[in-house]
Amino acid sequence: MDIASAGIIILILLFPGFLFQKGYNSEEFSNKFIATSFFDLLIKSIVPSVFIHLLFWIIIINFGYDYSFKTILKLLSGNETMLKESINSIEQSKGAIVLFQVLINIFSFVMGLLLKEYVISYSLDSKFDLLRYENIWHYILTARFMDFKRSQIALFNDKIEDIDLTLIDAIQNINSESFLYSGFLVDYQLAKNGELDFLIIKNAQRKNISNQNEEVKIIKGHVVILYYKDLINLNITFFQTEQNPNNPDEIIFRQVE
Amino acid sequence: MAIQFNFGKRKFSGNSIPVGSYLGKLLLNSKDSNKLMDAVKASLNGNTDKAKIKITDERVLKELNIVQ
Repeated sequence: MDIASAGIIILILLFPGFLFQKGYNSEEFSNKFIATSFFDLLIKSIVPSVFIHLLFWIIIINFGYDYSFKTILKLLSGNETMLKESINSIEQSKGAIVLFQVLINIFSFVMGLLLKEYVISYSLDSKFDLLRYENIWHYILTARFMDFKRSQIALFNDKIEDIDLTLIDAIQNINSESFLYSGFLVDYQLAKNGELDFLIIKNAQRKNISNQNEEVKIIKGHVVILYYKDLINLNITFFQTEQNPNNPDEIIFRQVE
Repeated sequence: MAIQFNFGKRKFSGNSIPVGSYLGKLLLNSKDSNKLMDAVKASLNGNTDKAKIKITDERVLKELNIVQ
């Protein structure tokens, strides 16, 4: 057996861990997944692969099956005779092996997704460094960085879940003049290297801060896109809304504290 | 004491995590969205009297259980 074939077998063995990582690092955390090198990803797939294979080992034993480490080692050995023996034994239970591979891979991906859901729902990623995603912008723009142990800013009266709107104030230089853009954050996009690419703001306004006489200009259109690389300064304010007890159809805004 | 909206809580779950609450989304997409900026700027400046808006959008009023 050549090195390429042995590599394929190792990949098949590590594939559940790879899919687990894919599920756990999905959506806004997927940039980490993309930015990671293939080798790095393989290394990170080893631990979940071992756990998932151990779990499935316990399950398949109850159905009268077992892992044949002898067959796997023979496949990796490179010896022609051993290789033929392994292929023959695989051939005898190919249906079960294919079914096993399909089930273990689906299970791994779903487990990754479920673990992500659990970790995020209970903010375990904010509280424990080990579970934290590398998308720091997610924590900044959702205010969840306030839950970090090292963070010196914290909310005493409100909760992070109470935040309704996020106000963005950003300074951008255009032709040697500085403009202050203000608007409500509606979405953001990360670049492939994990850096913030752009922010999308709504109800945007622009003020020329180089010329104080100029009035605030309301920018028409649905959204304004602010490229992070063009920004000099970024100010974020988190707001909570409350119903006015004296006037129920009135909403009061205040900064979370 | 002001009443806090229950349905406006941000939910940190699901595949994609929103940057604001459902109420925030409703407000940003309501007819009253043009009043939001003045209200939050007033709040920033400590002008609590102006840090509020009157809701006229029926969809938001319905969600707030003001109009059934």
